[in-house]
Amino acid sequence: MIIFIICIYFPIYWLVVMSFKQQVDIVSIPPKWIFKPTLSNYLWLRDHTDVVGGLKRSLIVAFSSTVLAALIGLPAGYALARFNFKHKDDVAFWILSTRFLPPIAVLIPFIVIWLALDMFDTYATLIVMHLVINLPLVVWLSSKFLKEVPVEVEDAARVDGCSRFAALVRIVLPQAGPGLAVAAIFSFVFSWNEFFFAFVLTSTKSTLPVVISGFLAHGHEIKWGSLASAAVIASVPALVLVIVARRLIAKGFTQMVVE
Amino acid sequence: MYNPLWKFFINSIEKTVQRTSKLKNGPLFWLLPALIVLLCITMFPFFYSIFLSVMNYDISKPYLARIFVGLRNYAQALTNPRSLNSFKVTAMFVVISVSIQSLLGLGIALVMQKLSKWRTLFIGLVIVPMLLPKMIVGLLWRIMYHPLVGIVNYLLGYFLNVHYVEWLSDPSLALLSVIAVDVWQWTPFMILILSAGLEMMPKSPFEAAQLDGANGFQTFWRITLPLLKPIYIVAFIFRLIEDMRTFDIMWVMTAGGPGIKTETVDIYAYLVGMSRGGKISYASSISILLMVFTIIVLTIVTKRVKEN
Repeated sequence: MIIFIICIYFPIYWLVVMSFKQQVDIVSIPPKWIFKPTLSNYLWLRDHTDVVGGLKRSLIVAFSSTVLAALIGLPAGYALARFNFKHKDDVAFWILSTRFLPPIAVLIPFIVIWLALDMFDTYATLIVMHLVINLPLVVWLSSKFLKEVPVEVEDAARVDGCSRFAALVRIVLPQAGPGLAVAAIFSFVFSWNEFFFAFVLTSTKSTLPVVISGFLAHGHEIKWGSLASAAVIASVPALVLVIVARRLIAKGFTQMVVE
Repeated sequence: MYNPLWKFFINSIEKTVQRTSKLKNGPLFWLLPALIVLLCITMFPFFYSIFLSVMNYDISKPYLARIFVGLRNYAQALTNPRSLNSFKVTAMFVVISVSIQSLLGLGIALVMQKLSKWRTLFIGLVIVPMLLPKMIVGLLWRIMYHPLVGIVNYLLGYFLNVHYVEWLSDPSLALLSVIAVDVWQWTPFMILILSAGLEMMPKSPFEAAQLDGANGFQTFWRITLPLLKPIYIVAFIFRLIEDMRTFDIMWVMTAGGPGIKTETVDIYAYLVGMSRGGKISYASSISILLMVFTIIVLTIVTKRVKEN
């Protein structure tokens, strides 16, 4: 067990350590375990590359995509959880099946569209593309979590005169809160980590992962240290989320499994 | 002024308000935005993809007349050696990677179950690789796999006296190296789900088994495993679908190389359709084939499972 944890964490530890090493220390063999840490890699990033811009853009895209997916997906999840109508299972299955689409199948037609609309390299493009994955995810997760909330409380509120919408906001949402937070977190993380769509659809104003991949194409000496620093920066949301929402995620996952 | 026309007017307004509030109370109101958005975003590209795949659009040859070519693209995709290779690579990658992940994940989940005190801590720790951007993971391992200065080779040389293994450039090792990375990143997913499943299991069968004198191995095989099966299947299928679409990791680590040894269908379609050619029609047909492939595999797996 311990071995497993070590296996999992060693690369991450290595990455973080590398981001603080000087170039000389990185490529030396045997690898230096004890070295003089430096912030020069991070500073280089800030001065010579567009990492800050990439960060900003990643944040905007991820945040907007999550919010949009939540706004549209939550009501849909609610409908799937509460109502029983004809073809309901078909609709649910269809929403889920959009995951089967390989991203490339979606990408090629969209390239044609964005070309025609001249919308390459914009925020809106990426946000919409990310919706393709985020929206079904939010709908599915929220329908599951909303189902967990007992109907009686909500019905009682409605009998007392609440409209459905108000009942949703005041009563159901707080109860299903943790689950929905998990859905939002996953959407955000996915959007942040997403590379393929961003890679193809943006050039000058790209999100962070794409900016980082630009480092590889330098031809000459690859600045490993800066690469590692950029990687650490890109991994920050994941680490922050784990630290902050550890119990939340664990609980959410557990609930998610209980079908 | 009780004009009958007035009455009619008021009546119809009342009816519309009633109807809208009925609509508001119905499922459609809630579902509609999501459905419309999803329809536009997924169905439309899907159909357009199909349309593209039966034409001969080629971005790099704008002078070519755009005609309907029927199934020519599909025929080409199914006979072209490079295309077949990409399918083979994808299949190998998916099968090996997901199998290793499932087995490893199961083992670790079981161990975690025994150490239940530490479980939440472990889960929190183990989640991290999953949340990292795939591309970063690819980069990190690329650095680590570097033949000369990578840490992997150094450790191997130090402990096992194996020297200078070219993980990513050796044709026979490249795919395995990438599989290893995928396993590293996604086994936690299996662990998470299986662990949650293990938590949820009812106690009664176990108590009955203990009363009947079953030993550990029998308990595991006959009780734990079958109870775990539905969840296991879900996780398995999930990972299958996801792994069919690897682009990020592979692209950053090997970009399909050496040669075309790690060229999955996704990478192949990308190269053909966008970066090194403009044959979007051909690429569309490939991607549709990939989807069909995925669905076929899915159906096979689900059928096999239902039979058991």
